[in-house]
Amino acid sequence: MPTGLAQAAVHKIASSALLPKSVFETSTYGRGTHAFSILARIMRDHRFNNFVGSFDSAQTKFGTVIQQLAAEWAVDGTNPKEVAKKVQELSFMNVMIYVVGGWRDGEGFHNADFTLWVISQ
Amino acid sequence: MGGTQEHLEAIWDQHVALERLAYHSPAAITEHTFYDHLGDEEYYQGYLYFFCDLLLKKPIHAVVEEWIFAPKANFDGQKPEMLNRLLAGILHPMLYLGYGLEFRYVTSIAWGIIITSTLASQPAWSCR
Repeated sequence: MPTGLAQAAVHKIASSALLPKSVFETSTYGRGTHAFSILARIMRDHRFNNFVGSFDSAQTKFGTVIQQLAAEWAVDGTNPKEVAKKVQELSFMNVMIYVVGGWRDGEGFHNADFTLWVISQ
Repeated sequence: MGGTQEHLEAIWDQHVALERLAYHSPAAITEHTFYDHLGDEEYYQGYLYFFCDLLLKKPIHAVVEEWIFAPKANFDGQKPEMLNRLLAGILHPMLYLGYGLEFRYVTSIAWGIIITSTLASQPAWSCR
C-alpha cells in the first residue's frame, strides 16, 4: 500500500488529458450510461482505428476523447449497493476486454493472458 | 500456470541482472518537501517512508483521500497531479495501491517478511 503511493509520487505524468482539472470540479453524476455501451461507442469510433503506440501515447492522443466518453458513466459513491453493482459492471467489462481480447482464431483462448490479468488486476 | 522451478529460477536470474539494489534517497521526504521531488525516482525510498509513517498514524482512506484525490494533491499550487501519476507507469502505482486497499497491511507485512528473509544482506524497503 505505501509502495503504491510512493510509486505514484515518483512517476512522471504522462499526460493530463485523461484526468484534467475539470474532473475534480464537476459532479460525479453522469447520464448513467452502461460501461458496455461506452465500450461499443469506442469500438465504432473511427478515431481509435489502427492505433499503434504505447499506453502513454494513447493517453496523450486520446485522453480528452476518452474522458468525454467515460464522463457518461456514473456511480453514487455514497451508496454501497450501487458501488458493488458498478464494480461488478466494471469486472464484466474487463473480462470482455481481456478474455475476448485473448482469443485468436485457430489458436483458441490464451490462458496466460487472462490468468495474468486476473492475478494482477 | 505450468511453470517449473527451472523457469522461476531463470526468471529470477534475469531480473537480478536488471534490477538495482535498494538505496537511500538523497534526503528524507516530509510534508514540507513532498511537492519538491515528485517524478524523481531517486526519492522513492523517501516517499515510501513518508507514506509508511503516515499510514501508521492515520486511517488508509484518509491518507488516500488527502494525498491522491484532494485538490491540493492535484491541480492546486504546483499542480502535483497525484491522480495522473497514479495511472503512470502503465497503471502500476494504482495496481500496488489497489492491492494495499484490498488486503490492507497484509501484503506489505508479507512483502517485508519475504524480502527480509530472502535478501538478508541488502536493505529491505518495507515499513520500519
